[in-house]
Amino acid sequence: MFFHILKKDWKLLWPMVALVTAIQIGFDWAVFSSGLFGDDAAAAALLRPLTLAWFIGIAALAAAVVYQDPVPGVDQDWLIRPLSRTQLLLAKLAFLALSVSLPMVILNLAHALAMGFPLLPSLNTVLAKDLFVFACFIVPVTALAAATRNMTELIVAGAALVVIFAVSLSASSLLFGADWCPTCNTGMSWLQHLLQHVGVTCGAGAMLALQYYGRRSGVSRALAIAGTGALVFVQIPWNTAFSLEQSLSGRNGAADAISFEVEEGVSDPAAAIGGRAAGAGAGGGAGAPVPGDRRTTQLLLHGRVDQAVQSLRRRARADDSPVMVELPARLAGVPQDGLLLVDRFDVRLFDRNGRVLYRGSNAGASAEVMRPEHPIIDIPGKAYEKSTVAASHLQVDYWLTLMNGLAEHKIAALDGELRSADIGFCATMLDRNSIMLRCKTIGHPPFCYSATLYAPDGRHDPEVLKCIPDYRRHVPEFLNVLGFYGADLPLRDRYGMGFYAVDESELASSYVLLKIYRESEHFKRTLAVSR
Amino acid sequence: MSAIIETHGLSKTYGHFGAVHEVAISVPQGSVFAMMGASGAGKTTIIKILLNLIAPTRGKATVLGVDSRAIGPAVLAQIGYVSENQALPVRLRVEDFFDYLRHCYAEWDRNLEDELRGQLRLPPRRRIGELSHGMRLKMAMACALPFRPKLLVLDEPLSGLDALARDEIIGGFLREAGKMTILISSHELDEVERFATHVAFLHEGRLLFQGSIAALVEHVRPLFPPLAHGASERPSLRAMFLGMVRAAGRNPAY
Repeated sequence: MFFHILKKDWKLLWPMVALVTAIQIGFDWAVFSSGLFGDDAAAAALLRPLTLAWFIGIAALAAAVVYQDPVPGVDQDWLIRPLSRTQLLLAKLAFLALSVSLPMVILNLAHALAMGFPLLPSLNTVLAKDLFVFACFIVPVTALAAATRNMTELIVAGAALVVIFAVSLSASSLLFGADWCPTCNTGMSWLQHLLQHVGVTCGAGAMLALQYYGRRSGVSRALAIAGTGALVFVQIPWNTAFSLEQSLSGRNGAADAISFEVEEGVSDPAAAIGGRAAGAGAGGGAGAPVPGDRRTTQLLLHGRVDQAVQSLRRRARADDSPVMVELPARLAGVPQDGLLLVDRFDVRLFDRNGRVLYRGSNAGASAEVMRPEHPIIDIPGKAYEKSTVAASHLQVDYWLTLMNGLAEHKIAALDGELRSADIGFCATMLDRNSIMLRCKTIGHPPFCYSATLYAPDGRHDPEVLKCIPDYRRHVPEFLNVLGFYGADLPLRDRYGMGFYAVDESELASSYVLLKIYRESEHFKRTLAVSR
Repeated sequence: MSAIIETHGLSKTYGHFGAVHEVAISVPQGSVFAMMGASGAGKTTIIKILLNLIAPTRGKATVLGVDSRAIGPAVLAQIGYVSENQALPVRLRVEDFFDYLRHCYAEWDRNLEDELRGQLRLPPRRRIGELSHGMRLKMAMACALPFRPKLLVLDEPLSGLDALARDEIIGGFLREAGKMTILISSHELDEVERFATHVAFLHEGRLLFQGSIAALVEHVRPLFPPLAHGASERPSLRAMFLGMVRAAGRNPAY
C-alpha cells in the first residue's frame, strides 16, 4: 500500500514538486552565479527572495502531502479504509525525501563539484546537510501539519508558535538577564543549538506518533507549545557546556604553559582602574559608539532581546554605565603562532573578610581575542564605586581557548586565486580602498583567520584578524552546502590615523598572507589580585 | 441470529453535554438495522464509536467480534461506510480514486465496481471536489460495495438528496442486502420503513427501543388503541416513533 499512497500523492502534487525543484535550482544557480564577489548582480539580488521561497515552498509541500490525508477530525475517508498507519506515515516521509531531499542532494553535489571540490568530502557534507534539513525542518513542518487540518490552520499555528517563542524569549531575558542563555554568543553555542535541534526533531517525532497512531491532536498541539517554550528555557549551563567542549576536543597539554603573571609593584586593584566607558554598553572598545536608542533598535532587529534589554536598562540608569578595568597582569606561555580567545569570564570582588562585594560576568557578550597584557574587564559603575573602596581582593575566572595556526597560504594581491584542501577556494580582487579576499569552502568555513597584505620585500600592512568563535561539530548550515568567508584589507586610512606600508603601485607584486587558526585546547585560568 | 454489532452501556459526553447515554444495541447478522431518531439523537456519535473514530466515555462496543477500540485495518477491510459527512479526497479524479481503493482491499470485485459506476453514472474524469452532494454520496456508495464487506454502515445516506438520487442509492445497497449486514442511521423514517428488518429508536441520546419490526409493533401496541387501526394494519414507523417519543416525554422511565 506504501507505493500506492506514494503514487496517489505524486499524481496530485507533481506540479508543486516541480515548482519547489525549480526554486531549488534557482537558488543554487543564484549562489553559483553570484560568485565570490557578487559578479552577477541580478543573481545576487535574487538570493534573498529565493531563500524565502525555498523555506516557504518546502514547508508548503510538506504540509500539502500531509493534507492529502489529514489527521485531525473524524470525517476523513482514509480513516475508514484498511490502511496501515505506519505505511501512511512512511509514505508521506518518503514522498518528501524523494521530492525535496533527493533533488537537493543532487543539486548541492553538482554545485560543489562544479566549484571544483572533491567528490567524497562534497558527498559527505551534502548528505549531512540535507539529512539535517530533513530532520530539523521538513519533519517538524510535517508534524505541525499533521496536528492541523489545513493550510490556514497551519499558518495560524506557526504564527502562534512564533509569538510564544518571542514572549518566552522576552520573559526569559527579563527574568534572568544576560544569563538567560549562558552559551549565547560564545563558541559553545553550537551545543545549545544541537540540543534545540535534537529537541525539535524528537518533539516532531513524538507529534507524528501521537497523530498517526492515536490522533491525539490536543496533546500534539500542547506538546508543540511546551516544546517552543522549552527551546528558550532549557539552556545548557555554562560549566556543563565548557566541560563537554573540553571532553570533545580532548586535552593535548598545549595550554599547560599558559598562566597569568601579576605585574610586580602593582598590588592595588584600585590603582589599576581605567576610566569610565563612554556610551551605552559593555565592550565599548568594539566598534564606534552607537547612540543608545539606535543600538537598542538594532539589537532587537537582530533578535538579541537580552542585549537590547540590557541596553535599555543601562540607558535608564545612566550613572551605572560600565567601568573598564585594566588588570595589572600579563599572560605568559602563549605560543608564538597562537591566539587566545576569552570564551567567558566571571569577576568577583571580596572584602577583607572574604565576603563577596560584587559578582559579575561577561555572559551574553561576544567572545574576544585576549590581550596578552593588561586584560580588561567591565564592572557596572555603581558596583564599582561601592565595592572597590572596600575591596581587598579581586578574582577573575577565565574560560579560554587556545587557537593554533592550521595553515598559511600566500595569494597574489591582485586577481589571485588559490585552491587547497584546508582553505577551499580563495580569490582576491581590488576594490576602491581595499583588497577583497573571498573564499568558499565545502562545509563549515574556518571561524578564526587573519589576512595580511605583504609587499615583495616583506613590509606589510596591519593584520586583519577575524575571529568569531564557533567550535561546532556536525551541525551543518541549513541553506548552503558551501561555507563563505573573507576579509577586506584596507589600502589606506580615511582618517589618516593608520599606517599602511604597502603602496598601491606595488600591488601587482604584492601578496596576501592568509592564516587559518584552529582551536587547540579549552582550559580555565584564574587571575587573583590582592590589595 | 448472532450479533455482528453489540454495545453495552455505551456513553459519550463532551464536557457536560451527554451525547449518548447507556445505549445497548445488538445488530443481528444479515439484518438491515435502522437506527432512527431526530437530529442530535446520537446516531452519528454511536457510528463513530463503532468505527473507532472516537472513543466512548463509558461502556463498550464490539464490531465483528472485535472491541471497537481495537479496530484496525483487518476489521476495516470488512466494513463498508457511507456518510453524508464523508470527506473524500476532493482533488482526485473519480477513476483515480477507484484505482487507489482497489489496492487497499485484498478482494475487489471489478465487475461489481464497473456495474455500480455505470448504474450510478459516475463521471470517471471528474475530480471528486467537482461532484454534487448527491454524486459524492453515490460515489461513496460505489466505493463501499466492491470489496464485499460483511457490514455496511450508512450514516444519513439520504439527507439532502432528491427522490431520484434516493432511489438510486437505496437501489444500490438493497441489491446487496441479504449478503451483508446493514446498519443505517437516518431520520427519514418513511424511506427506511421500506427495507428495515430491525430498528432502534434514539431520543436525546437515549435508546427508546431496539429489536425487530414485529417486536416493535408488539412493544407499541399499548400506545395505539385497536380501534384507530384495522386489525391487519400496523402503525407506520413514523407514528410508532412519535408515539414513543411522546410517551417518553410524559414518563421519562418509559
